[in-house]
Amino acid sequence: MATGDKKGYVVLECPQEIPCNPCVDACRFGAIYMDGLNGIPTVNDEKCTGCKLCVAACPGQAIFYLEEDETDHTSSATFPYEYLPAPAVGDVVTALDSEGKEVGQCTVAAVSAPKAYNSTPLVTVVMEGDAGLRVRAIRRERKGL
Amino acid sequence: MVTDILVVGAGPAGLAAAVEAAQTGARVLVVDENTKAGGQLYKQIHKFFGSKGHYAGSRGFQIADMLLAQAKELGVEIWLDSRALGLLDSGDIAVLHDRRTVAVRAGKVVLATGAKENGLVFPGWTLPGVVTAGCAQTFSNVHRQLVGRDIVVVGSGNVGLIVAYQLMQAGARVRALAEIQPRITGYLVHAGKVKRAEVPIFLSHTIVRAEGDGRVERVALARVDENYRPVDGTEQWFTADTVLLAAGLTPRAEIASMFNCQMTFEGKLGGLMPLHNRFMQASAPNVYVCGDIAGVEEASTALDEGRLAGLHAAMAAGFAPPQAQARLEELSQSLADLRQGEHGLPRLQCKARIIEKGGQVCGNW
Repeated sequence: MATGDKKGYVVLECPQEIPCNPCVDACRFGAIYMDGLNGIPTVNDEKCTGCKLCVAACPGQAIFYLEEDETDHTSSATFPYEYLPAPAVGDVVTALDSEGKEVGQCTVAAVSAPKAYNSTPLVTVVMEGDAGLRVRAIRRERKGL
Repeated sequence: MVTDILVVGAGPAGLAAAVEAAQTGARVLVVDENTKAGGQLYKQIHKFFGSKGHYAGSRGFQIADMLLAQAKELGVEIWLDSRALGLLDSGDIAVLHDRRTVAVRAGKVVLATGAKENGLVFPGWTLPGVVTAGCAQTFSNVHRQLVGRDIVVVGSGNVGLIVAYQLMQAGARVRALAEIQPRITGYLVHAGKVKRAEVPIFLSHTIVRAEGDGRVERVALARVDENYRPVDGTEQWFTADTVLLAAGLTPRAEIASMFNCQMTFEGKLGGLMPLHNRFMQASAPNVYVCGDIAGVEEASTALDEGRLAGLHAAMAAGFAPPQAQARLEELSQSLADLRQGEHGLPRLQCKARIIEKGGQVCGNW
């Protein structure tokens, strides 16, 4: 989907044929397709509205929402984050990629956990340039432990 | 005590069998040696895989709540803290219940006793701090007590990966995860969660020693050669207070032997288990098996096997639910769908062998 100068899209990092399809059921717009219960899911960007319900629903936490903002030259990533404490908007934290390698410092732009997410909060972080597109997680806080 | 169907074990397979049987109008009694029903489901705080029919996307404890609510609504009787001891000469089943041995006369018996965790022997394995993954998970998710702060995980199957993730959610640090195979053996998406939490994964590695003064304080991992033997000089030491063993599961099949069920061996399904046919009937008269006792798989397959066993047992006991035949086929198809892909197909092959052998000796009574 595209609004103004922002270009957002869902990425599915689900490379194995495993019996699992909650992403297909989570999408109200029929944008995720799978060939049978064990198929590799694919997303139809034309149908995707960027609602991110699939990001929270995926039991494998393998769905991410990425966005590029061409106006202010930033990029963002939205991912599930099931650790406590949850980060707060405005926090500057260490961004990590899919292998847990550091991408750099990022700013938390949103934290949302409506009931439909079933206790899986989604965190959105923003970085300068296109670095945010590589982000899949943040370093977790271990305060008081 | 007289009942149409006795189910031994109140985990996902047993509860699914009870619900399916009770829906036909059969009287169902479930016995479980634990003080709470749900089997391992109440320890599972992660979202489950599978499809809608397997409650995919719900967390394990939520699935247990749903199954128990259905069982209650259907009038299933559940005896907790009650252990099925074995078969009496009369054909009744002895159940230790409320400090008495009760003879239960059941038309059909469904055995759903689950599986037990495998240990692993290495120098230092008897030190406090060496625990199985399920043990750590019970402490953490049921009793809200972390077994340790700094953990080395042995085994990259789904159990090892999921428990590693959950212990980190509870505040622990996972120092390393070792897998003796040259590849991750669980789902890559579960491994992804652990990698994104900065856990170093050591493939072709195993634990060779744990040391400490009265409890685990440090742990050595070493690389293994192509014969899975540790290579001298490749040891790496980690500071850790806990070794988490996730070395697979074995069917809890002793009770099936006591019921004189013919057994078979399938290494990929955990070892010795009772033979069964495609409706989960064992070789002993009026006995069904389902879930991990019939071969270690997933909660989703346990649900479908339980439903299949429960429905067929009720039909064999004289209950004739509408569309029973279509439902049996639907459940068989659902099981076939779950046993696909690189993780499922080897299990499908094992099950095909069991059912082929079982078809000749099971259910012919």
